[in-house]
Amino acid sequence: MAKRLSVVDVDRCVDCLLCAFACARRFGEGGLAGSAIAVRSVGGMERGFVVIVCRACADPSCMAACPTGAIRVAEVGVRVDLERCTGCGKCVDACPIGAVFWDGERGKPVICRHCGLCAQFCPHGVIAFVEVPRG
Amino acid sequence: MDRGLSRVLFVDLSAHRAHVEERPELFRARLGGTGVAIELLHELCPEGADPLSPENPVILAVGPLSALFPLASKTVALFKSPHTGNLGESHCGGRSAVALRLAGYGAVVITGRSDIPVYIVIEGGKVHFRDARALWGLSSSFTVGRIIWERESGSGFRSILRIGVAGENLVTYANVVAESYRHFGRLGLGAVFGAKRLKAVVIIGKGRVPVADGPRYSRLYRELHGRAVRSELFKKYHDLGTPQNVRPLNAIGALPVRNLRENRYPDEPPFTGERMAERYLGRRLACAGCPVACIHLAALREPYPDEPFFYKTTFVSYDYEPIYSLGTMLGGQDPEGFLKLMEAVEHLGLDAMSCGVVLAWATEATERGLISGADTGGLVPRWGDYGVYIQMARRTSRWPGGSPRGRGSSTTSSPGASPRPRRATAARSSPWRSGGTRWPATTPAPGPTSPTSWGHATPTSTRPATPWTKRTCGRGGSGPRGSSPGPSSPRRPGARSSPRSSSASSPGDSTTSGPPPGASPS
Repeated sequence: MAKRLSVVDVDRCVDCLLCAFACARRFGEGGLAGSAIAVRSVGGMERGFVVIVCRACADPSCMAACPTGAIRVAEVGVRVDLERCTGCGKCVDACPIGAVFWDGERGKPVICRHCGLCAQFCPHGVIAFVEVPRG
Repeated sequence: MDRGLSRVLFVDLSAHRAHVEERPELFRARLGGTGVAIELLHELCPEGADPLSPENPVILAVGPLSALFPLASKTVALFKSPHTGNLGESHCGGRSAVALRLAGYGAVVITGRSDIPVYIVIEGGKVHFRDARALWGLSSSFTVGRIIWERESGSGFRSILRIGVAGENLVTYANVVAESYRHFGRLGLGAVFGAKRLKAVVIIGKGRVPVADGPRYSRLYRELHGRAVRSELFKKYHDLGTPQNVRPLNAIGALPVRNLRENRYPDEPPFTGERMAERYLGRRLACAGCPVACIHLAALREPYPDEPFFYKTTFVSYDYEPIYSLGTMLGGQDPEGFLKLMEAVEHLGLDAMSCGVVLAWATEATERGLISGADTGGLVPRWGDYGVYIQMARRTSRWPGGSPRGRGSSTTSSPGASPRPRRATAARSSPWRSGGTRWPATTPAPGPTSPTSWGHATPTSTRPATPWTKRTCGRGGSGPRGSSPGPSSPRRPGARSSPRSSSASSPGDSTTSGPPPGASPS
């Protein structure tokens, strides 16, 4: 059963960033450079937060924008072929929700693979790994 | 140890320059940010330095666990305290530690004094010096944060450390506010910022921290995380937070009440964690990397008096310490009054604990006839009278006639030589204040000056430091009053060449490039 990551209640977010750090640990590293999920405040901590992550579009804008065909649709979400990727950054500009992140150190995009690891570390039920509805 | 942690960023506010030194031996020899920072302070703070002089360094440091493991979310600040004349140590959470480490630094050392108010942005291997004259004197640290929030990049990956008017006016217990609700609270770091004309420090960091054994790191992280979220020890901090202490402390007669004249409320205090949560708790926050989320925000709903059915709702953070200092120490009975005072203290950038204790002292001193309205600008503090306490906090932060260091009434000249006004309610009266601090007569007042040099500096990655590209506008060089770069860090190694000038139209736009943190050493 295919699953995707979903932001189920952003008002529960406390800005701990455990999701983003979990994402980076997929690659066995610390920090946030390799993370495909981000949390930021909406005008300061007093105003609450937004959680930004790929929502696994059926017809992804990032894929359409990629001039080299490095982005393709997977069962859930997309995959980036880093060999074919030239680092032009058009996918970043194309995503209207800002969910294509940029690894500045490597000059490549980072997009959620919907593995669900981050949801395991969300202490407050903000994000969840949910089944993709059929049809 | 990764290379990023061993890098120390030196920011010289007098010269508007920065450079990086590699100090791997320091980070190996000293465990954690505090150990590194104390060593740096020892190296860089001259004996006998005035805490509000340019030579007092501010050292911010993180440790090897920062941005890697859960709960390790604090940055330490070490400096010479203007409040005690002694060691100043203060720890702050928020996003500060993660941002600093992921910006590629283990420590930042800030020295000197800017000729005009500035804020600095640490990002991508560069330090930008931004004009903060328009931010100087803003009534709320929240507004300062929001302006910088709008103006600077890096949302979601940054920490914004700023001072309020209390820091600008050198109140010795002014704090530095991070992310609206976290603080370098104790011992007057805000005044040290103010004396340096440093309104804010923005640290943007989204780098990576390499680890030697990725799978082992992930396993260890999972284990520590599991222990933290299952622990009963942390449950208290998460559920009610530190205000959970109020009820038991009252029960055993260990609650500071009315300037410590009493040790309990006859009935249950109105500020217990339970009552605060039931009536006001509106949101919880965490520091970056911490699952506990111990930051409790009260939703304070206030009607506007001039219009029916018109309300504002603000979020005010509360903890045990502000509850005892601004609540029970002041004999408060009114949680909303307490929250309004707490909010004012946040806006002004005062340390909540010192502020409350000072107000409590002033209240008892008034009762005993030790001070009068002549000492407090006509205000008469009474236990639990939050309207007066809020005014006192505001006046302490904007002392009539100038800063506590004696700006005087003149607005046109450097006023440091004028005598300091008598300050009954401020820390100057604190009995624990040491006599060792000297107050030189040459300290210029912070405040707007003429346009002068601008630029940003791109730190080099090795020492000795190389020249910086420095852009100038206006006259450049030294400002009109007392702004010549002082002996900001006499023991700093590595002489720097004089800055090159290049044309520029406005401060802040970047024209040079340099090696980002983590770039290979030259």
